[in-house]
Amino acid sequence: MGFLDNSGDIILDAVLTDAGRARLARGDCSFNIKKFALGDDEIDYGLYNKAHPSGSQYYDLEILQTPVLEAFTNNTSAMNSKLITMPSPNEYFLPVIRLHNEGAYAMNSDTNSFVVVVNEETADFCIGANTTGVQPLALPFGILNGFDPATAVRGDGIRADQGIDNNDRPPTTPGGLPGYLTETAYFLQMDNRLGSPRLANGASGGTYSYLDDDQIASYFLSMPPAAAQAAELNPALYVANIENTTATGPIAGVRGTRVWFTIKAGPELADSDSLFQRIGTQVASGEADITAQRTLQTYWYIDSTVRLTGVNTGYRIDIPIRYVRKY
Amino acid sequence: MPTSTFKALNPDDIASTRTMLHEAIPVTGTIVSGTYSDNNIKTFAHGMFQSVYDYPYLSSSANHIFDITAGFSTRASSLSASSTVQTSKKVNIYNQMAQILVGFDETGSVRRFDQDGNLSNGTKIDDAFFINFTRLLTKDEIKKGSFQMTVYTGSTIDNPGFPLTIQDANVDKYLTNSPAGEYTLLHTSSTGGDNTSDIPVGLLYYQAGIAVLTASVFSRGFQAPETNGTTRRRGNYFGTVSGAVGASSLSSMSVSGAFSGSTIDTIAGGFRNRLKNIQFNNTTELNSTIYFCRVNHNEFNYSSNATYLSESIIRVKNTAADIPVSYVTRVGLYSEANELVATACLSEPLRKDSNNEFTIRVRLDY
Repeated sequence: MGFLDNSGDIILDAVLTDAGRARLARGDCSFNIKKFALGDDEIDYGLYNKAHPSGSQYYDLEILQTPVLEAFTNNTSAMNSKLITMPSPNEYFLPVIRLHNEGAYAMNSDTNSFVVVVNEETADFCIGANTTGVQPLALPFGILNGFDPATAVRGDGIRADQGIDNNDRPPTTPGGLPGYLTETAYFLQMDNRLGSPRLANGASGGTYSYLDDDQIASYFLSMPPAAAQAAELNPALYVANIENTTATGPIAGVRGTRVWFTIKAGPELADSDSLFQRIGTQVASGEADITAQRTLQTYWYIDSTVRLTGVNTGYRIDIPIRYVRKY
Repeated sequence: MPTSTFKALNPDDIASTRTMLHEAIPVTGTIVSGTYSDNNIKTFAHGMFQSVYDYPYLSSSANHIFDITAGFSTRASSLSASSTVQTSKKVNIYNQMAQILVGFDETGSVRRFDQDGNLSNGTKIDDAFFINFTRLLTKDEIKKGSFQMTVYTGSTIDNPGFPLTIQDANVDKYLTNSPAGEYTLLHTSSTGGDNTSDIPVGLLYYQAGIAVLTASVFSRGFQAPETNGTTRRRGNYFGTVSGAVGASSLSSMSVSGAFSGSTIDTIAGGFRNRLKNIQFNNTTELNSTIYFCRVNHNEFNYSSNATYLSESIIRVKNTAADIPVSYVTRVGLYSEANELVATACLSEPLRKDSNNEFTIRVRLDY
């Protein structure tokens, strides 16, 4: 995409996204615009210079000179960061979402991603048992059982906490995180060809809200009202309240909610290596590690991401996922 | 006011409009006869028409711009009686064009092209050239009153002179008795010669994008102003172009002789050789929906941009009492299920804080 001409009047470059065109083509009235959002994907707020010697008029000089790209037609590539409406103009701290990346919930340190093994043979390979048909006893940290996540060896899953990541607002701060800043629901987006989210206990948590033309599935993960005070480690919930949790976690300050899920690999990955051949990478025996315990074997992998976005604040994180299949 | 990244659009925020967009389309005659040594002219084994491209057609950059063909009716007054070459194909072309553009009479017979548009009686156009413009050029329709075609009517075959301009000058008069939409009569730029009563020389179908030109435009004596001082010419000059691309030859021939004794390809080649230029404006009917994205002073003042926070502290504030500031570069339009169906980008960032509010007008054209 080129940059828009910003030498004169402000112009607006509007396009239908591929998903919009697909809906329009269906002819079933599913193309129905109901709401809008504003985005600032190009903006680097780090350029806001509160110490500019010429005064406050110049604080955002560099930001206002930011060139803007033409509109993307890929619906998942645009509007990555949205502007937020909040009831108070006096917010100073805003919550973020942080991934658990320590201990049992840490990413695989060899790949800096969560590794999803797509079949049992691959799991054996990751454990180092190298014995096909033998149920693995335990998967190393950061490796998820993508072929049967409901078993006891499903892995520990992926966790992300929401809250204010600043010691100036410690978890014991009276009042905690205001309700309007607490995420009670999240959007989870991932490539539907590769996998789908599961509750941490491996059970299905429901189907996607919609599937776009690029096979990106969007799931709506919400906290049931009755579970607002549910135990933080309830593997039967996608979203749990952790406002009273003071245990060390990725959020230094007051907490809101926690998302906990695991991933089941798609059947196309589990049953054949055709998708790996098309969009994956083959690693020859001995070239790279997956785990310290691995038996050196040739394997395929596909790198992808799972995007987690708070419905209230729009804050999002991209979680790296590597789907692995033994050659 | 709840925290939100979306704002619902009310019925009052959505408006539908229709806009007519016009583009000028100039086609110079050298494109159709010379610039590309006829490598931009596509002929077909069936020999029923020639296609003209704006570039050698084997190139992926080439665009198909119009087709040329010719035909006649089977009436005794036409040249069909004397025709010896591709007679049935010329008749088929005429009938095909006539049934689409003129339609059928009460008996189910195909009507013939009428010189003045009065289908019930009057002079008919029985021998005609057809210039079919592609949708790429005409878009939704040719703009009324903008069409102009200049053809050479001079006697010299290889370098014909005496340009005659044919146009739809009478913007206000167009006819609606065609099954193919509105059409008008084509006249020469001025009366004179045998054409003292300004006899129409063809028909222009606006929506179909087809010009029908009587063959006799090359046989009547029209007044054809020229720079050499000659203001009038009479004759029956046409000429044909035949042979392979790059090795074609010109033959001196009257237009009636060409229709009777030449193939459609050869006639089309002769017409190209006589074409000086064509110009018209096309029309695109843009149906638009405008979404008025109204941003109030107390809305969208914060951002979820990863750079907006540093250790969860808003970067653009020194204290909690400072006003929040954000910058808009994009507008997203969403379905009920939060699926992004349209997006728009501002050419430069727009500052948003609690001291200002604005309406961004996003127009989607269909």
